[in-house]
Amino acid sequence: MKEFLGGLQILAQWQNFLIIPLGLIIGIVVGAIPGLTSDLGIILCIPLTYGMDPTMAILMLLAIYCGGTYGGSITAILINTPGTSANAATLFDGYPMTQNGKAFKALQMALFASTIGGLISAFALMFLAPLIAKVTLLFGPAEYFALAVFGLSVIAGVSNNSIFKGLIGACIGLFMATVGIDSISGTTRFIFGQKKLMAGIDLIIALIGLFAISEILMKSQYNPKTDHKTIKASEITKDKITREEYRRCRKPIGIGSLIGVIIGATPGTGGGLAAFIAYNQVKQSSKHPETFGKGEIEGVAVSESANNGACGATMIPMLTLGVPGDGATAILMGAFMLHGMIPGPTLFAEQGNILYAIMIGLVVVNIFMYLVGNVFTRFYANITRIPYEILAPIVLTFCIAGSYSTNNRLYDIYIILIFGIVSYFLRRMDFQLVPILLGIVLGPLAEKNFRRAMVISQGSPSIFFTRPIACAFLVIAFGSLVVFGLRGMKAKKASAALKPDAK
Amino acid sequence: MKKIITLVLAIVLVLSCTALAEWPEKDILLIQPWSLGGGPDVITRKICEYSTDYFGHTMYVENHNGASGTIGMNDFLEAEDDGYTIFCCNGPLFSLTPEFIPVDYTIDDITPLVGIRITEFVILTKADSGITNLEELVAYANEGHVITYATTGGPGNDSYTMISALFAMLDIPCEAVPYDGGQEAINALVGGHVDVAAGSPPVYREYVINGDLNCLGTFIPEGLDVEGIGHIDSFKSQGYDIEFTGMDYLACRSTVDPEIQAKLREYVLYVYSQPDFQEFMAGMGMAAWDADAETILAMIDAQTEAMAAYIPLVG
Repeated sequence: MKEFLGGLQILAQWQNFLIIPLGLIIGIVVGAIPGLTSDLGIILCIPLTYGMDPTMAILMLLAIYCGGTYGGSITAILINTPGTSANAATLFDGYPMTQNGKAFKALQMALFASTIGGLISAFALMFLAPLIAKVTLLFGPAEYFALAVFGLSVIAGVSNNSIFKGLIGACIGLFMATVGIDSISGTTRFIFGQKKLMAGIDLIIALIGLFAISEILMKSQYNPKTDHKTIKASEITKDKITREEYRRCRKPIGIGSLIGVIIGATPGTGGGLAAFIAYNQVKQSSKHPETFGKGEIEGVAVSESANNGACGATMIPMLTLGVPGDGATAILMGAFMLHGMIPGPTLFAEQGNILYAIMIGLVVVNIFMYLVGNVFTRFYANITRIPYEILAPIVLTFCIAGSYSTNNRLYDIYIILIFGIVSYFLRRMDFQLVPILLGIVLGPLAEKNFRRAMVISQGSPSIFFTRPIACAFLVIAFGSLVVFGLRGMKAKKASAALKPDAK
Repeated sequence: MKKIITLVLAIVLVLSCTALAEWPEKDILLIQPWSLGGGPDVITRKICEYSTDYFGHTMYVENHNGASGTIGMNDFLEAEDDGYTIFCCNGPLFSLTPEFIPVDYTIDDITPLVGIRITEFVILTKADSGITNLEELVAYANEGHVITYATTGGPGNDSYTMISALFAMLDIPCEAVPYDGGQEAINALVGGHVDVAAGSPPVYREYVINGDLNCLGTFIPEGLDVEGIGHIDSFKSQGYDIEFTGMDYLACRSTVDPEIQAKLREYVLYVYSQPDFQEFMAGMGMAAWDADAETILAMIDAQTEAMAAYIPLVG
């Protein structure tokens, strides 16, 4: 309690309340530009924090992190390109809502759900961090592998009606994830003599190619003279979210936030996986699963609450164990060290006051995020009014600049172009891109941990069934596949039954 | 004619001296071949903090990570040799990596400027295993257990090579479980997923102080004194002919003008002399390592020679 009050005292400086909105604006802007992520925003702003006191510095960077995770939803909703990998699940219903003229409503829900998810996550960090950290330590290779399989089972739910194409997509993603040096054996795989490929393919590079470039190519047949009128015709409604919609979204936001906290607290996972798993769970338990993927507001609510729910939770293993929960927290960990705080078991004992100031500050960050986001939402919605012939080159420029800035390599621009062209043809053949992304995200997690688990168990697969957490994940994954299989069969029977009537 | 040539040479000399006196005229890039947020990344970013005041230009870090540091090394060697691009290097990039990955560089391509830090690997077990030294570990293995050990990377990684070579010398049944970094390896041990792990400060310190982990020894030949833990014996002093001293250092291309090299070195030494930098390093559980080029090159030579003996043991 003494440390909590001490933290409150440190936080209650006026400078902190100025730096948080600034960080949020930077975060939202970088998150909303395809190719620029909160990771990059944090890196660029670290030098600005050198002269600040640690609390102020970390709060600014945290604001960029949270703002960036929310900001990524803006482009996912408006132009079918997630700003960050954490927002990929927001595409499912966010973009269809925009196509239905409900961009404003989707953006509002994304902001609301992100704020609630972020607040729940911040409270979890404040009150449950040591407890969650102990549970996290129980996660060994078997548990991580089972979690990755659980994540991959989401493919069944996001492949629309073609599970076969979904599986092919996932295999393409898994294959992409194997490119480069295999960290377990030290050998190179599928680099075809290209030394630049030894580092593998960055997730953000794949994301830009898969979604942004292919989206631009999909619109290659766009005719400004005729098609522009079509877009303008679907006027953006400025309808606010109704009370009934808020009520409907309560459960998805709750589930999303909870899953966000659990997945976020598991090192090496992150908000993207949390959003997919939460989306899948909500779709499965919904009374109207057929509306998901067609502009269902609950889909936006669950995805955004889950990815922002992971934000605070990714800090739990970082602060308590010194293991970053995702890429952005790895950079934040560096920032903590630069400001003289070494994340790990002793941080709470040695710097308790500052740490509590930061944790309470995370609550403030989320409240400010709602206020700042609310002001800007009406402006973002107008992006859909920009003629595509103007928007496309702007997006392309940002994509190229963003992919170059990831590793400062021209080579990555070639990669996004190749990814974009391949994805374009896959989309023309009605393949979903999300299974490919899931394969890329979860491939390394699954492969590395499967191999580690097999080494530990001396080649016995029983390790996945004798460890309770791993077994539970595998059972849920299997259950999830069975439910989708049964639903698919039921839908086929129903459509078969309808056909004679139609005749 | 001679007068003209002398005059031209004098002008060129004066101009080049003036140019060097003004160096740097633009920002300096420090290529970091390791990932963001790790020890070397954090320290080099701290080193860069002082550059604007010192040079009037910024020294900044770019992470070109991947492929055991060779991606960054290649990018560094492709840059101009004007001193505006420097590199955060380590020993295994020359002593170990070329044995596992085809590389296009040699030690002659670089000149070390100044050391950054020494990496001191310690081998640890979980306290509740009751294993406190190598003899007890061997006895445990001889009871029919296969020892699983967490390393900070896969083949080509220094901790992987050293711990695997040690266990080969002990002739015990064992399996390596490569993790991504020191903290992951230590957490795998603390979580009870492996029997042994390699770690370097500060990742294991608190766990040992709290009685969760035991130190079996270190590869540093003189042993190691760690605040709060005391002296950790070297494996050498325990009768095993194995040693390793990891190191990170800054380097420039060997063709960079010696005066520019001297300026860069002076800058880093200036940073090391700053009390707040020393405090920062103490917080990280280490001290800045101000070794010169000669010392670093001698250590790399010795390391390369030692690795030639260890790598066949690893197989």
